[in-house]
Amino acid sequence: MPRPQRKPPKPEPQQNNWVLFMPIINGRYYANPQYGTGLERARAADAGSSDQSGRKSLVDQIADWISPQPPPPASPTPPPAAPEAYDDATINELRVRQVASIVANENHDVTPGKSSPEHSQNAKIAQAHAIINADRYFGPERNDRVHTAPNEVTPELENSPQYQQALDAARTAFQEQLAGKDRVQGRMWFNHRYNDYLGRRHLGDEYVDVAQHFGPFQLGNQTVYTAIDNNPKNMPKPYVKR
Amino acid sequence: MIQLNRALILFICGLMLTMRPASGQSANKGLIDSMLDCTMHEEGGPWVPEDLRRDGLLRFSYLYEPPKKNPGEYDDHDNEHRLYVAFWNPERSKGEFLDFSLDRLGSRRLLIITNQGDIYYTDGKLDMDVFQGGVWMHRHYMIRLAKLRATPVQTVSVRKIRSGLALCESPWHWHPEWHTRPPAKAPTKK
Repeated sequence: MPRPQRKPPKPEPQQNNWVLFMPIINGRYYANPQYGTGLERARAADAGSSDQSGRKSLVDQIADWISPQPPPPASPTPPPAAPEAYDDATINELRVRQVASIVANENHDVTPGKSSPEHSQNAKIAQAHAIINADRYFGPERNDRVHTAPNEVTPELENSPQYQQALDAARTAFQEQLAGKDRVQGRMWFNHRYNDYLGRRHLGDEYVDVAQHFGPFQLGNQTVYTAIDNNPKNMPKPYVKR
Repeated sequence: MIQLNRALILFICGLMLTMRPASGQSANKGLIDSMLDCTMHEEGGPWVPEDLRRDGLLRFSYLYEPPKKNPGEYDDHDNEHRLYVAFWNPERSKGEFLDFSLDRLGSRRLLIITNQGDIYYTDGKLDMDVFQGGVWMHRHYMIRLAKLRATPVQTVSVRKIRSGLALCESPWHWHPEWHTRPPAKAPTKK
């Protein structure tokens, strides 16, 4: 039985040959030689009338409009900044590294416990946002209005993974704020709770609710939660440099 | 003559020892009166809950801390003079903690309530819920609270607390016009 004939292979597309047989006029390909000749003559005549300032001639502009243009070069995008690039950036009175030191002190020895490391890191980022907000709002008065740990750490803490996490949190919060994102929406006061009471607390005669909470985390054998409090009903005046 | 000089030196040494401030409670009466004034009359107060002063009395212990040359891990580094005060119930099983930052505006005292805490006992151990701050702040205050618990309690009638003695502020009520702090120095690189 004769073997079935294989289908003949498809002919190669003729595009290359077609390009080969396109006439070249003044270094340009034209499918229609008459049109090409006319356009090139007009271009040559127009060249004399175009000014010397580099402005395109009318014919060139029409030819550009007819023929497809290459896309404009993409605007150069800056390379991603190194993580430590913002560490010495000043917010108001505090630098990013000092925000990290406060976060590290206020979360000293707190481990994720039953929560995920991401959740624990989000709690630190929220606290960094709160500290940044307080620095922006109160400037040199921050520590009397939103009292926190010192912005320096011991050498032992500085060389620990805890500090690195705090530094990552401060960098993230700072970059988010630069991009207009504030995870705590202007809030400044935060605290840790050593029991599962996440209700309102009072400062003087005003009670404030918890706006966000994170946890449970672990501090030794204690369970600890992080709470971001609402700002007071009547916001105190911001610090204004004089 | 030599004996007279010796006697004089001994007298001066004795005088100096007598005048030495006693332990942490070295704040003077004027400061304590100002503290009580701000506790009861500051705009955001009174800062002692009613259940701690139902009988018309305030029971308190205080701890004055000047800035330290070499602050420890759980000391403030802000060069401020501070006054820590605990207001107790009659049984001393519950209380209110206040942290004051002390300053002066001309000849007048300026007292700023910078933080607040609820003191209580849990499983027989003294503890505190701090309004503002995390682990560092809690440890910082627990060190002070242990000292306050060991300090004798003073009692004052609420009716006898005078007002207008000092300028008072708190986190939510402050007067920017009272503060003309120079900008912070640029941090030195390590």
